[in-house]
Amino acid sequence: MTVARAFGGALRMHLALYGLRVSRLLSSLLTPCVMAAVGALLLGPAAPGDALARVLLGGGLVGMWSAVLGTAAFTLRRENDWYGTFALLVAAPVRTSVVYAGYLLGETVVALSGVAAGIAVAWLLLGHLDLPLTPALAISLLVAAITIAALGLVFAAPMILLPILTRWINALDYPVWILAGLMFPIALLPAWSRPLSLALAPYWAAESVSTAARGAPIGAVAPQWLAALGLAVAYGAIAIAAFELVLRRARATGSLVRG
Amino acid sequence: MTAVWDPVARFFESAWIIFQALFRWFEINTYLATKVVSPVLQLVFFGLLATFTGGSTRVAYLVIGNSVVLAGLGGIWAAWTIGEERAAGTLPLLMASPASRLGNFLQRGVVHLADSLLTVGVAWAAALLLFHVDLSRADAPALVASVVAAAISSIGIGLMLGSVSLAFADVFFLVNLLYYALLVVAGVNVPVAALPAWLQPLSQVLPFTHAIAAAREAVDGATLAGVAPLLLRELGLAVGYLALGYLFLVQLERVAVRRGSLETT
Repeated sequence: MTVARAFGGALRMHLALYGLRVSRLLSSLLTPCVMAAVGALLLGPAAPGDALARVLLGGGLVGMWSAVLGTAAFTLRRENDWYGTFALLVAAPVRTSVVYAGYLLGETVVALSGVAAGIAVAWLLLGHLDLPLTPALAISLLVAAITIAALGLVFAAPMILLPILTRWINALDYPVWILAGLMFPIALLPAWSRPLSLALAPYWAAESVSTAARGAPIGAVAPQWLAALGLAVAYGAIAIAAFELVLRRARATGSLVRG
Repeated sequence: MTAVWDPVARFFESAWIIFQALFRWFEINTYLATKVVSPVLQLVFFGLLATFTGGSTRVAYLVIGNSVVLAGLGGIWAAWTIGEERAAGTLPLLMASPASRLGNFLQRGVVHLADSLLTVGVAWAAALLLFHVDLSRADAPALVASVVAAAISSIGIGLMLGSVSLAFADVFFLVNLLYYALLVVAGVNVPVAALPAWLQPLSQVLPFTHAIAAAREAVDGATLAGVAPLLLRELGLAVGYLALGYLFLVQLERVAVRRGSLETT
């Protein structure tokens, strides 16, 4: 119960603080809109629907990963450097990873609006757009949001130990965009990178989005959802362990955030 | 001789201090992440996107465009120097000082100009190594001049946005908006002719459009004289942005003195 309250409270707080702030919303929409615009203009109106769907919806996922990674870094700065509440947060009778999970999932909820904005931009530029808005596609996007939040959680714990990682977030955007094949198939990548892609939950989620956008039935997409969610659960376990390790170390040294 | 040399030396000394102040958190790995790793990965990402959307023939187009637009990072940092001045609380002190406003304004771009050229150099090295961009016919002076013009233009609009952000908005959002707009509208990834007709006029007044077109022509063998009209247009825009930014800053100072406060937002 405490876990559910902490998770829900963190999610609500993140949405209340940032979900409706215009400047923050516009920033969240920028990346997906630009990526969708570039993709749509590169492909042109005569492009095959599945390629167009991949770049447009992928643009939204690209924006989502940027937003989540940014939030993982920003949360530490906000709670530790600006509000001074990080120590209180860590001392609360609930796992810190649960609170972070609430923040990150809250951010993906905001970032989902980027998918819609990207589609709107592409429609504006191309004049028309045929995307099958099916339940399978909606579920795939939700699965993508969960997997991206879970991956962000894995990155959040090391940032406490090594705050310098918060300054690497721009450079950390691209590896996931590329390896997860968010806007293009991983067949374009060298063979040695394939295992890395397969180990990324957002890869399976992006594949499910592409499959669903081709109009495939739920039965055809479900295996990809299972793979994505299975990996997301594994990420959650890794993140919990990583947070515990970091906080145990902090208690031993008497210092919470290094650097 | 000293009378001439001292102001010049002070100009560059202050420019270096402004650069260092912005990078007060400077550590070599952070610098590498921002100025080396991220630009190379940007090239890789757009190179792969080009392959997916148009096959290998489109790769060179996107790689050249993205290599040149990386000079825009210099403008982002230059804009930030002005916002940071207010955030650090030193803007009122600066306004109270008898220092030349124009000199101080221009100083903000000097080191970032050189630094952005370094970033572009890294990107070109990556373009050659990873994507084997064919430079066999390229005219080196014309290509270098195109990149320098892009960098100057970037500093021009960066300083203008930095000034404007003091009165109206968050500098991060403004510069990010500009950088992303360039990726779509300035001929970086998509030819200007392929944009909808209503967007094309915007390309003509944004920085980089002419410099990137010049760089593409230089790669195809055009000489410096051949690309000169494009570069002059780019430099004209840069001067226009600098003038607007400076005038805005001076006007803002007048208003601040009259109101007794710098806080306009």
